[in-house]
Parts: sequence; structure tokens; C-alpha cells
Amino acid sequence: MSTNPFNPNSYVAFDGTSVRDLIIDKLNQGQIFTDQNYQGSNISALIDVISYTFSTLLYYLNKTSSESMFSESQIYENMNRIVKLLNYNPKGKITQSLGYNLSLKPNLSPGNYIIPKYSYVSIGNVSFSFNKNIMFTNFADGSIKFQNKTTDFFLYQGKFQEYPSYNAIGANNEVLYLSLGDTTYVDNFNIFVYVKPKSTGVWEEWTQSQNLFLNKSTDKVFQTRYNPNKNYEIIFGDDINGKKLNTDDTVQVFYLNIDPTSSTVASNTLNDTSIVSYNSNIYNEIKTDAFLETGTYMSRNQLAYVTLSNDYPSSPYESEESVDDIRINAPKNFSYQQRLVTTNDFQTYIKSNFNNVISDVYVVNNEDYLKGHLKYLYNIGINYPQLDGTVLYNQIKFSNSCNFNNVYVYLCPINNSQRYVNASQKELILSELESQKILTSQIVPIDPVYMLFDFYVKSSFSKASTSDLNYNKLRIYKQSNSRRSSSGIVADIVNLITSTFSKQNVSFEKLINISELSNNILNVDGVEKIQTYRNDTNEFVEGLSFLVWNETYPDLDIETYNQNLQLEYFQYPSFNDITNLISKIEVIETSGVIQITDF
Amino acid sequence: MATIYLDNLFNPRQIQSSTTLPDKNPTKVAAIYTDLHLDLTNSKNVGLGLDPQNSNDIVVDNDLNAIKNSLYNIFTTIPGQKILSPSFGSNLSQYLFEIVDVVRGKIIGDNILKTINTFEPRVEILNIEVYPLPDKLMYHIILIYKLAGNNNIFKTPIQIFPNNIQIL
Repeated sequence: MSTNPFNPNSYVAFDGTSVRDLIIDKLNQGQIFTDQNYQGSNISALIDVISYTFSTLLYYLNKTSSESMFSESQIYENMNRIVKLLNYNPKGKITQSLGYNLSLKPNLSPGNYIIPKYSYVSIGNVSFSFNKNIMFTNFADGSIKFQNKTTDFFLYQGKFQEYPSYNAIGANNEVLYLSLGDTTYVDNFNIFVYVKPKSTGVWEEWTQSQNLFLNKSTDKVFQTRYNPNKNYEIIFGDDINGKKLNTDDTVQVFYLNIDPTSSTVASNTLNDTSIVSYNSNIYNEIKTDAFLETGTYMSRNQLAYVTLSNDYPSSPYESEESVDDIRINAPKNFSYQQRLVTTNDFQTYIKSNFNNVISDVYVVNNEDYLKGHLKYLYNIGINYPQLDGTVLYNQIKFSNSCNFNNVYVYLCPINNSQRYVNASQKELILSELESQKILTSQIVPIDPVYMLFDFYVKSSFSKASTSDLNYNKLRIYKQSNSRRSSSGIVADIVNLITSTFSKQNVSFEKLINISELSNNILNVDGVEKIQTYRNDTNEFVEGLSFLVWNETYPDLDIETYNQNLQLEYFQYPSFNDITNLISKIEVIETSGVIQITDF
Repeated sequence: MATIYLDNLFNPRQIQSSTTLPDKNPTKVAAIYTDLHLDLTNSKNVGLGLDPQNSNDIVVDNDLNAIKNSLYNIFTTIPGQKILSPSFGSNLSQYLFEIVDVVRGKIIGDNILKTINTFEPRVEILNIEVYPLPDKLMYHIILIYKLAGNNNIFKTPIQIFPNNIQIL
């Protein structure tokens, strides 16, 4: 029996050259051919072809087997299919959302009114749509009472469109594919389905379910899945989990057609926009049959009395989950199984479902909250930490007097112009968590404690204070033979610092690596050395020195650091007045002569 | 007394075509160099001693023919074509559309000498005669060499035409 010449553990090392060498060795042992040892021979050419083919096939075998593995896959299509086994539904595109306030102009006659869903407003060329009926009562004295929850008062970028009506074939778990082409983008959370059963002829609204397996046989629900081709599949039940479609039932889908390229909307831009109601034959039929709210659907003239305003800018658009995002989120999603129990469960769920609202989240229980955040407030000299503004606000709005079962969720908004997640966004997150959290727990959103950073040299004559910040600058000593402009060097350093403190790179409980930042600045072309300099006392520190203080209590928690700094879980770093960073950096040009050899 | 050689029973002589009759003298001297013959075909053996029969062996080129294969491959391969040996080849084709003259003939001769010394250690070049034929837009080259371990001198003519290279 012949021995196996291959080491069973080294198959991945079979590149073309090693296969060629192996064949040559075998032929030499056979002593029939000799010319395999000469590159010019015919047999050498044949060996090369065989070896190269083998190595190419092995490469594809390796790649194919890698692509079939969750940990190695790099192609979206493959990853999407793999996580289907985990029952993970990758997120599609998420459009901008815009919270708004609604008021009425005088002279609208009293009554119950409804702003019909799918109506929209236009801000410039960008449309924002209502995805819920907004119901209110206009009283004779001019006051308004809304019947919606706070979370309903969001507009979503895009316009609703109708997908062509679909006649069901009556199969179990029937799937309707939304095939809209490559240039039509659909929001992940704004797909609405109406079904007109052949037996009744009356439209009814079916609701979206996270997972059909959680539903009863009579539930009129559907599940959406963002499939490997980046289209949506709408999956119906089988009369065991979710109600089944019957033959010739008519299905009508409304989807939000979004524009991923449109820029976000600033605060106070909704003023003077007029609402345009959605109108089509099928929509009017559905409105009559399936919209169960009581009141008068506002006509075009009546809609002119409605005034919208927005205190906050819109949240940014988020593209679909990438392969790496799915790789991180799918196992976590699998582990929490629609039950929010551990810290990781909460964090994963919030991060993956509200990544267009928040940049970071941190979750603690009551004990950690007392040991951490409240103890910190007490330590810095606040006698009644529970009366701290942000603590008290969230306690009153979202919690009750019983705190031991509280789950504190620290939320940092993704929007740079927004310091805290606003109340309606918090409500939105809480309402989503409600159905999945442990029954006895109570979720309390908490605002981050912002720790501000700025260049600072502590004077030996006075205490550190934010009022001295104007005297402090970062000094860059330019290399004497550098041909870079000073402004170019400053721009590079500004980019470095901005990037270090950007929301993509910071988080709760962040280690602020000052030595790494110093090294990065020193590595900028043209920089010889850096100093933090104070011009009122002419004191300086070699390298970077930061003043770090609590934004809310700048007199109580303020320290100077020139070493790495580990923040607490409730602290979120931010650079003070980062838009004026250029003015805080000065370049010192040392005199020198550029030699010919430098060129 | 007649001698009966039984070598051909275990070492059949290989022949290249069905029209060639088998040599009655059995092969006694083993070939030094053995290469595959292209295109790949089955070889024939003496069978019962009357008609050549197909064998399960492949046709091979021995010794001088094997070296000629190598020279042909060297001259007709452009460096980079042989994937696992990218430097192999002579790149003579770069001269195909150049003016035919003595200077370029000298360059071609140097190129051939350098290439053979690099890739064919079995050949010792004695002389390379390059004759430019401008009227025919070709070079006629005669390669004079001997094989390592063999004092016989061989001559191989090569012709470089505007559109191809031939080794005669």
C-alpha cells in the first residue's frame, strides 16, 4: 500500500510551486522521465499547467469553504443566507426620522380630526411622510387633545408608494417578493400590508411581526426579511404560526420609498410646510374599510390649518447592516431570543434597532447605578445626587418611586447637534423594549455625563479653571527643513483630534489614550515636537496636557491630565468647542536652511 | 547457436508511427534524457514481433530530441507565459518587426547564448551563426553545440520570420 505523500494538516500550503515540486519529486523517484528537472522540457510545461490548475482550484475550494462559514464569510449574499439559520433578519436601510410638534391655526371648526397616514410634507425637495394616523380633538376654545402616543409624532423621509396588487395562491408561508429594481430604496420599518380576503371583500390591516413563530394561528401578521439580493420578502403565516393567505385573497403593500442621498434636516425647518394627503383608489377603499379610527379625515383645505414644527434635527439615514455588522449582531440576537435579560441583550437590541438615533448605549442595573453614577455625583460634592437635573428629569418622566428593579439605559444621540436623546425618541425606544423586557423590570433612560476635554497647563499659581482656557494652546514646533505649510500641518492635527473625539470613535467607559494621540500628532509630516503652552504665565508641558471637566458641574469635577484617562461607564467624552479647534493650535517655525540635497 | 534476446518482452522499443517497422535489434542502451512527446499519443511496441501494437505507454522523446524540445520551448516562450517560472523564455519575438541587420543579429545571438546558458544546462554552445537576410525579412541562425558528457557536435538551424520562429 502506497504511503500518502501529503501531510494531512498542510493542504492549505499547496500553492502551485509546492505542487510542482512534489510532482517533480515523484517523477524523479519513478526514474522513467528525466526532463521534469529542465524548465524547457515539454513535461515541465505540462507539470506547470497541472500545478497551477490544482492551486487555482484549491484556492476556490478554500474560498468557497470559507464563504460557507459564518466567521469567514465576506460576501453579503452568503452572510445573509447563513444567518437565516439563526433566524436572524438583517436590517435594511433605515431612513431619517424627524420628531415634530403639531399645532393648529385659528378658525378650524371644533371636532375630531385625523391626519391620514401616508400624507407627506416637503422640505425643499425632500419629502417626509406620516406612517400613522394622527388623531386629535380641536376644542372650541382653541385647545387640542391628541389621542396618539408621543412615539407617533415622527415623520420619516420618503414618500409612500403602492406595490402592484398581488393575488394570493393560498400556500403555507406564502412569500411576496418586493422586486423594485436597483434604484428604489425601501425603509426597513415602513412596510404596511393590507389584505382583502376573497370571502369577505373587506380590506383589513395586517401587522408586522418580528417573528411568525411568536404568533397564534389566527393572528393577521406578516414578517419581512431583507433577503440576500437586498430586496424585501413579505412572509405570511401557515395557520399554525400566523394566519395563512387563502387563494385569491388580494394583498396590497405600501412601502416608504426613501432617498438615501438626501441630507438631514436642521431644527426649525418644518415651519410653513403644507401637508399633502395621499390619494389613490385603492388607498381610499382601504381607508374606508381598514382605518378604524373615528373622526373626520382632514381634507386638503382642513390640512392647511395644521402647522408643524421641529425642535430637533432629523436623525441621519443608516444604510443596511454590513457583513461585519451582521457577524457581530446575529449571535447576540440569537442569544437574547427576543428576551431582554442581561446587559448585553439590552445593548445589542438597542444598538441594532436604533442605530439611526443613538451612537452608543450602556445599560446598568440599580446597584451599579448607585455604586457608579450616584456615588460619583455624591463624591464630587452634590449632597442630593437624586436631585441632579438630568437624573431627576428622567426619574420623574420615566420611573416610579420603586427603584430597585430599574434598568438604567444610558443613551447618547448620534446627531452631533443634539446633546441628549429627546423625550419622544426615548419614548420610542422604551415602547419597543416594553414587549421584550423582563416583566418586573422598569427601564429608565439616562442622559450621559459629558466630560469635556481641552488643552490646558495647570498653573502653579492658581487652581484649574475653565475660565483660563483662552490662555492655553497646543504649540507645534515645525521641523526646520520641512517644506509643508503650517496650515497643512494644523489641518492634519485638527483632523486627528476631531477623529479621536468623533462619535464613531468614542463610547461610554472609553479609555482616552493621550499618549497614542501624542504619538499620532508627532507622526504628522513636518512636526518636530509638541507642547501645551499657557501664555499668561508662560508655563508649558511637553506633549499633550488636557483639562477634563464635567460639563454640568465644571467647578466640582475638574482635573488636568497628561496621561491616559479611563472614563466611567456613565461618562461620555467630548472635545470642548471643537469647531474652533484651529484657533487653539499654533505652529512655531524654527529657522533653517533647506539644502539642495533635501529636494 | 542462435541467440534469442528476450529484452523486448519487458522493455519494448517505442516507435513514432504505425508505418515504422520495429527494429529487430532490441534496445540495450537506456536513454539519458526522457521527455514527453507532444502531442500526446500512445506509443506502439513490437507486439507479437510482426505488427506494431498500441501499448499503454505514452510516446516520449529521448536524448537529442528531448533537448530539441527544450530549445524549441525556450525560443518560442515569452517570459511570463510559463506561470510558475515567469522568467523562463527568450523573448525573441521582440525582434520580429525590427529592421533586419547585422547589429540586431548580434543582439539576437547574444540573447540566444544568454538564454540557453540560463535555462538549458545540458547544452554547451560552441558557436552561434546569425545570418541576417533583409530581402526575406528574416534571420537564419545556426546553433552549434554539444551535449554535456558527449563529444558529438550538433547543429540546429533556427529561422526567425516576421510572423514566427521555426526550429528546423
